[in-house]
Amino acid sequence: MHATHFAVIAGVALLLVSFAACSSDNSPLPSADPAEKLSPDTTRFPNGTELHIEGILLNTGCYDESGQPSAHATPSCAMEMTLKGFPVAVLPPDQPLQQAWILLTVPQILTDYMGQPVRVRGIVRGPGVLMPLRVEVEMNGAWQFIM
Amino acid sequence: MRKIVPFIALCLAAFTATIDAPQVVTLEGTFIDTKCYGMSDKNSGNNHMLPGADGKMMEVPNCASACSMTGIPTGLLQKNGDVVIMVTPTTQLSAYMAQEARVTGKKVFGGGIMPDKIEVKDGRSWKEVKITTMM
Repeated sequence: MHATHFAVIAGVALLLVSFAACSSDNSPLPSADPAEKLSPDTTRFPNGTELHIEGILLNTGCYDESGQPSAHATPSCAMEMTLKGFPVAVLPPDQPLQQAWILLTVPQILTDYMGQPVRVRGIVRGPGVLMPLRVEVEMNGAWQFIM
Repeated sequence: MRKIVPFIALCLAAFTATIDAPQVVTLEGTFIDTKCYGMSDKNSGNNHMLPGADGKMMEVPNCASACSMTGIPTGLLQKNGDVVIMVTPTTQLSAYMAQEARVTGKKVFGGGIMPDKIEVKDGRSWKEVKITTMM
């Protein structure tokens, strides 16, 4: 009799544990993994979030309204547009232009680094808007401090 | 069947292009200097409170216009608190800092709008601001 009761209770407990395991939320939690931060979705992060991003430094003035590079989208265009005061942005690898991060800084400081790989640490100030705290450019396989 | 497959592919391609193409939007808000606003959201006017040499906060008159003249990107602060960056030579907007503005353009960048038309409030009406955006 006791053995039967024990078997029933154990069975019910096993069912409850299985049910709990199946119904738990298996969706990934927001990750703080630095590797994940390197190509973040620009809409995911609330204002004030500190991010590390990597990508190519571009000038927003060298793209047309369809989001395609204009006929003048060359490093010299980027330099010219930067000197004119168009904002600069960082486009993470293999991302569409919508995922570029516009940098809240004086663009002219970055004139000489247009089209080059950069690494930026900054604070999110809106979807796709980053206030840079530190900007580095990749030169000869090493990261060089710019600002 | 042979006629249907290319038709479906064409529809799919057109639909995809519609999704990917940046849409024209009209946004209203106030022109702000994004650098000082980034430091404190109280700095949404033209005069800003910034730390002086002695560390005490001091009012800097026409700070937003001055920052814009140096090349700091101009933002449009919308009523819901979202800031959209103006993809335009920022110096051309320095005279309109802290003014109410209406901007029509395409959000080519997630955080920026490429303006086709910029207007600022002039009394009760809107006055268009002419800007040069391309080479």
